[in-house]
Amino acid sequence: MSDVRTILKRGIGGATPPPDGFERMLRRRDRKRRNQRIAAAAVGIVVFAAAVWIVTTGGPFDRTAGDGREPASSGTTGSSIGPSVTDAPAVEPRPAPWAGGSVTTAPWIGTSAIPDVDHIVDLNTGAMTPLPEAIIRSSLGKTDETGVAQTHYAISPDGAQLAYVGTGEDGTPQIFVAGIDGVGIRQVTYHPVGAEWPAWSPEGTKIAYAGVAEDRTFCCRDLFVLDVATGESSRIVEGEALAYEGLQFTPDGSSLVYTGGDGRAPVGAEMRTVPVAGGQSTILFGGGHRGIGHAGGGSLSPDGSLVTFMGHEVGGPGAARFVVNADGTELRTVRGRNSNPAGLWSPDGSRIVALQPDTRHGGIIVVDVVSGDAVLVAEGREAIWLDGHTLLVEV
Amino acid sequence: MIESESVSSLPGVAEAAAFEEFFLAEHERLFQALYLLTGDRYEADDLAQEALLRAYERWDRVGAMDSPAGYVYRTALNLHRSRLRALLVRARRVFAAIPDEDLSGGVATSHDVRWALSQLPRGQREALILVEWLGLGSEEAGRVLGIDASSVRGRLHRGRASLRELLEVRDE
Repeated sequence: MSDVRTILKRGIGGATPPPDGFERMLRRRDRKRRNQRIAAAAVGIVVFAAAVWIVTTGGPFDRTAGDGREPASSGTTGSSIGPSVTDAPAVEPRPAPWAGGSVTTAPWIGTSAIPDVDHIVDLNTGAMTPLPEAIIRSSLGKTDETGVAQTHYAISPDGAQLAYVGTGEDGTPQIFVAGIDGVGIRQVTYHPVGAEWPAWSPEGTKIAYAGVAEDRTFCCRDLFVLDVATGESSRIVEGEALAYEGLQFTPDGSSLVYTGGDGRAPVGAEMRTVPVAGGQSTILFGGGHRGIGHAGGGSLSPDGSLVTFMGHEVGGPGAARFVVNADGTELRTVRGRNSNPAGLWSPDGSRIVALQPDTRHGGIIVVDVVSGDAVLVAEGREAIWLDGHTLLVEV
Repeated sequence: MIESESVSSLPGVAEAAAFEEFFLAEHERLFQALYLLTGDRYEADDLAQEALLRAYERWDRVGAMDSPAGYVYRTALNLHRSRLRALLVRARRVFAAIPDEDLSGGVATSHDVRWALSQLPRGQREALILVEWLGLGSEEAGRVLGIDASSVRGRLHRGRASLRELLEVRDE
């Protein structure tokens, strides 16, 4: 060993890097991806807003007025039924991402009564009630400054318990369960890197979630099903679920709905189902299937007759929210962007809750999937239905 | 109605396993080299993490290179040279979990060495660490630094002499 190397070795002084280097690198990758998505979404919103401005007002260009009526975008599935076109803008070669429907604002928006913590809002009365302090303290959202939803609340079928992402004993994100009144908070997952996106089974005995398996499959996320009573988790999907799109049980509880792909697909993400008992997954939409390029955050309505997802048609304009019959017919667009697949449908399947795309601070809208009418009801990062007239909002 | 499609195994899984093996082999060495370069454990860890992450993100290409380690070293050095990044690292350091160094007792000598390294021009410091610590040849070090091998040897010669001189001064 040269004398200089000996000197340098003395300079190291036995220093070693902090532990868990590989896991920390993966968390850094996840943070980076989230930030890139936010930046891409911001650019997309600006471009989309400019397109809407040009289409609806003509922008800086001269326009010839049309007859004011145009069916909704029909994609490649034949005829479609869209929202009311009574107030639709003049015809343009490439239609706006949504074809119509009114937009109104709930009277409590813009008032000082809106809590700055996660809360419940009654859509009938406007009453807003913060979640119990104990739940808020343990939730992951308190530690995040990206503006992207992190806690991903999910309500049990009986409405008595919340599953959500909190800060685990080791500082990693893990799934917690608590009474809706804040009693009985407990950590139910202990995965080495972390767990997220909890979703309750219809009978309330299992929770599906996305995580990293202990045998270290590092490409994307694995999907697990946790038996709430025993605390045991079974891996259902290995390494192909996109971490940031959420998941859901099918209405009969036999399968999971999730977004598949690793970002390398030539066309885009795929909405897939996979049996809870294990087995091969099935592509429903996206990845070029049924004329859909990208289908992320897909969710089935409570009766399984409708599907909603974020994405784009093959060759179509950028990210929009679609609603379609489960058999692939009557594809149409509605307002709304990201949402939690496990809680975005109202119990009667007539409305969805999602982020409004054109608000500065993350408006939460409720959209009628038939009329396309939307109401701005809250300010936050994400919301789920607790019952037919109540939302839980993550701020 | 619903198309069936089997789930094929992803090429990324095998690549990820290969990268993990690379990571485990290189991480500590890279961290120590960057610690010598920066004199700061937090910055060394941050640079090592970022450089390895960038290699991971491009592993399908980097893994096929003759020297993936060289790619990582070059990336780390370029990151270190980025002034804006240095400002961000220092700002984040306020909240870092890595404890401050204990300079008491036997660690004082290692502090002297890092002080001496910090006095060297960056080019000499980089050449010394790449060749003397990481064991690269002059040719490969030149590729990492973007200079020719003879320039590497020149920086080494001057760096070694300066380092010895500085340590003798420190010992007085």
